[in-house]
Amino acid sequence: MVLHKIIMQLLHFVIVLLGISFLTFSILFLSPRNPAELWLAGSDGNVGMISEEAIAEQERIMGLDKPFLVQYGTWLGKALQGNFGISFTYNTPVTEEIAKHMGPTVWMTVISLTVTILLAVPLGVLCAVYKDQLLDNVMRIFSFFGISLPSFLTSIIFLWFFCIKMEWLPVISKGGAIGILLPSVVLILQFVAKLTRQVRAIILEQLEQPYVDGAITRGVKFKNILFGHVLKNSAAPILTCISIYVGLAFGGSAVIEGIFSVDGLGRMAVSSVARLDIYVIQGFVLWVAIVYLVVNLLVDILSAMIDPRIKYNRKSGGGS
Amino acid sequence: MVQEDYILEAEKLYVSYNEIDIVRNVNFRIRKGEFLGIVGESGSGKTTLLRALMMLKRKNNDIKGNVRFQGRELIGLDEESLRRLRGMEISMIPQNAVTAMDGTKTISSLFHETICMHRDGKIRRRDSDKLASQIMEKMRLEDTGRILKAYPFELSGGMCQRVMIAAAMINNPKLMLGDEPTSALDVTSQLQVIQELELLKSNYQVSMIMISHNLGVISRIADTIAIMYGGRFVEYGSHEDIIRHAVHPYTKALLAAVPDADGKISKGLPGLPPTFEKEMKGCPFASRCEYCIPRCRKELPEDVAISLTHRVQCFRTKELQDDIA
Repeated sequence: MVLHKIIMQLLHFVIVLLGISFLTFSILFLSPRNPAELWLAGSDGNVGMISEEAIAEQERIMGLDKPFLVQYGTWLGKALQGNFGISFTYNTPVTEEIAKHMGPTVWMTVISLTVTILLAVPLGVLCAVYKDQLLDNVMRIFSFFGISLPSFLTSIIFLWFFCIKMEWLPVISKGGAIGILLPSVVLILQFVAKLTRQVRAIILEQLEQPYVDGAITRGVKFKNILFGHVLKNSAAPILTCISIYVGLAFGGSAVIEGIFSVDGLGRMAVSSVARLDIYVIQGFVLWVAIVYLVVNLLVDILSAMIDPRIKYNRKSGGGS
Repeated sequence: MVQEDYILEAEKLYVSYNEIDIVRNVNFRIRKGEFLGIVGESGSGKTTLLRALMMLKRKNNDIKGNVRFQGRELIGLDEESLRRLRGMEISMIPQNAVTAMDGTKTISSLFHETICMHRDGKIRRRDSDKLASQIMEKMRLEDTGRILKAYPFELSGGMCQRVMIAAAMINNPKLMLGDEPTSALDVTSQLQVIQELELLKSNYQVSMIMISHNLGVISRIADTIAIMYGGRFVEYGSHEDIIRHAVHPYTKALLAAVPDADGKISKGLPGLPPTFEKEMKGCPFASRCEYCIPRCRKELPEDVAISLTHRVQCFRTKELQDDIA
């Protein structure tokens, strides 16, 4: 039964990935700019100097002269064998390009998510338990700023303060742990601001549930109600919230990576879009999609392990 | 000491939300093994009263007056002392047992927790399961092994309610409060729950206070019946007093509204229950009462004792009594 579910889920994965790859390919194909032209222009972007023949020749080399479906089919056929194409810009395989840039992004994600969970979950619970008291009010102000300040602004303020004014850290990162320190902190501030509020809302909603009243009338201590019942019932929705941040951290930190000169996946994606490096973009989009799908699957499995009602609903096809 | 004869006494009890009194000047006391049924429409303050007897407070909720449990004043008692009473000396059967149980925990865990919370030492799951099985079997529940392993959502509503009653009884409480325990159930399950409560009454000598909007259900098991309207006990008396010699126009209207065997209701009650306001003038039932006189709209009627057990809040008690005679 469980195996059947997982196989069905994997099948669902394949369909989603096919859909995403087709959609990305179509959007890139419809772009008014020509990758061959951009390639020939190089970094100075002097398009006017290049002859039509040169462009046509370059298109032929890149395989862009063929009809759309043939291009997509060729890419898909190779992709199924593990070959996701060659980057126009770097002339290296896409997988290699992604692997090269993955390190800093993965580290930033792991660090920022771990710290976020360790901070935001307990803070959210405390804010709910001590609702409208000092900690809750302080956190409300913090969250207000954390949510409303755009990450690029926070990044620039950090860069100015820590690297220029205090000179504690280098302005241009040389990679390594120091390089990802500030961008991770920016991510953490942003995530903690949001997740704390979400956890608080989830816990407050659970505290209003009839089972809490039921436990009080049975003489259960508040400590036991909170840790034994409320947290267990809140686990599935909290996990779902966290899963969204995993995707955000992997795919959405392009701006922060750019500002702090971190050579990560986000920055790679942005520069590939600028050069219309189709296969790299395609690879990046697929990578983010896979991360989302795997994280969602893990959340589903974990939630079902924690809350028996979820398993039950699936077994009976929904409803209890 | 007269007080010690009673399990629970409420005197001049007022319960308010946002400074508006929902329960107004409620007085009663019940003895060991006595079953008090409180009947009223939705919005009459029944649930608010029942929660107040267990000192369950919500935000902006204030309880005033006296509530004594075995002579001990509950109002103003610290939270830990109240916790020790809840589930041990006073337990409650909720309206909807399925939602009142944590859906992520088994029935076995429910019993285990309820026992553990009132013991100094820990108790093994095996031992708590044994105690739970014993009490459930006494309640005539079958297949207790399966029930203990089940999650609440795997049991029917009626079964959950009966399990909840067993869980409420696990620590041998002196007083049991029932918040319309039959209202969410089908007729067959209702009957089973009522039979279970009758069993508790006869075998365990536990005192019970049960609220319901269904006079039929209450009249079947209650020794004493209180009729609640607008947050007040408008009539209070023994089963006989209320069912045979009702005096208050509202009680009469309720009795007339109980369907007969053919499902026919001889007479309904027009109008709506009163809305609660800060200052309430006159008798809360005045606007719906066919016996209303100008005085009813200006003054609040106080208790008029008809007999040792029977009291009514109505200015025309004497005339209405003569009517019956």
